[in-house]
Amino acid sequence: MNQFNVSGTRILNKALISLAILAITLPVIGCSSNDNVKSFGKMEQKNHNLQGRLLPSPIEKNNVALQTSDGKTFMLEKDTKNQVVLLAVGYASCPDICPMHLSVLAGAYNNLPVNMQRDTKIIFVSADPERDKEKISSWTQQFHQDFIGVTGNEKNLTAFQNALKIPAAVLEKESTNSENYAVSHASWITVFTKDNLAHFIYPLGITQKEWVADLEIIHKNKWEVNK
Amino acid sequence: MSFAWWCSGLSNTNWTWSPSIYPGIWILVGVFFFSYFRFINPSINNKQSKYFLIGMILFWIFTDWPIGPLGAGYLLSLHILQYLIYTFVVAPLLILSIPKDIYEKIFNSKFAIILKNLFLPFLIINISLVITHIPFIADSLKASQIGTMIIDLTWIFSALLFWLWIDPKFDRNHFIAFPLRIFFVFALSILPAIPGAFFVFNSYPIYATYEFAVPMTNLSPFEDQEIAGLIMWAGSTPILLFWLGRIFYIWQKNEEQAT
Repeated sequence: MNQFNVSGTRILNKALISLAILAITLPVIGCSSNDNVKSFGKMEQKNHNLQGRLLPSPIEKNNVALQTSDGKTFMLEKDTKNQVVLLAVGYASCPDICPMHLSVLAGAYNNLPVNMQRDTKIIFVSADPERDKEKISSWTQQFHQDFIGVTGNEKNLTAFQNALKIPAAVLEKESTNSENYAVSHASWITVFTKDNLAHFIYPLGITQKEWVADLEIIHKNKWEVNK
Repeated sequence: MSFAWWCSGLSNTNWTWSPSIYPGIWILVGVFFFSYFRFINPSINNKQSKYFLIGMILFWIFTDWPIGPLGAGYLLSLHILQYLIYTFVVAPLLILSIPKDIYEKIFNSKFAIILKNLFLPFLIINISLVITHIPFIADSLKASQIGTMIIDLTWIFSALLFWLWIDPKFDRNHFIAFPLRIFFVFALSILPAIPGAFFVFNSYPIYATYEFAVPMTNLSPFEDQEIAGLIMWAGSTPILLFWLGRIFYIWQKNEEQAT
């Protein structure tokens, strides 16, 4: 292999040049980070700086009675008064949207300052009480121990969703005894500000970083508190 | 059981342990086998064929179901493990499986312009590492089967080029001296530590692919990213120590023979 003869100095010089080029290009990874990740598209901006979509008219918190898995009654208005609430409707067997939402929200919640965590409630309402009644709280807390999982009877769930102007979830059962079925439900998150009104809804695809940025604005904004 | 050309990062449904078939991967493995035993067959010895078989089996395991689709769409830590296995294990094993006369023929061919152009293989492997880890590019590529295939092929072929250039047999007549080979093998393991640091020290998930993946374990995307960073940092260390030990051993043996 005598064709391999090259001087050592030349090799060393080129090695140093190569490393210098790499040292310049490598930080690109860090600089890009989340600024470039928009696989699911970005919400249209509507005269505000938040990622959420502004509702044409605000929605009030309601007092429809729902239950946690250990039977405690939960009422949205009463139990989350003057707190920021992120509320999703879904079901524990959901194969995609619900675990995706809760996973992103858990990451965002962990990045909030402690005082904001105290004033933020993340609520997951199961529209599938038959399968979720016993497990909804523990399933929700798999994502974060502070999350609240609730469900209710059919009548109350319908009333709850109507009050939130959410299309009522539909159980896609083939027969009444069917145990393996999907549930069609709204895929967005309703956000209540400290004035106990929901001004925004957030679709799937908001990153953790965007959630934290928005929640900081939502918390610091002087929303008028209903007394 | 699903059927697709190659795995991809379209992980917007929950993970199931129902196997998927990826003919693209099987065809690639078949092409490797056919080329090796058809064109190189007369001169391969038993040891070389063993290196080839182990290398190909590892490549197949780390590319096909379940590791391939899990790494492409659910767990960044597995994706990084794939990179390390391709780069530090599969590629050198496949180069070791090439008989000496064929190896020299490759170095004397026109293709050798790249190999003799000193630092080009080292640059290619590191630039491919950087480019395939830029979030925008990685997320865009992983969203499709072709894109994921491009990432896998970029990694394996740039690693093959690097090890072909550096020669894992560590022949003393090779144009790169022993100290420089030690330097390059060491540098190959140091540079991935930089993206590894971004994984560990970032407060948020870097890649949308994994951030929006339906969780399949109790690991959050952020924890998974931290593990990926640690694998980038420390995962290559044992393999690196093996390769450095091998170079030192052969170097010392050569010195003894010379004296």
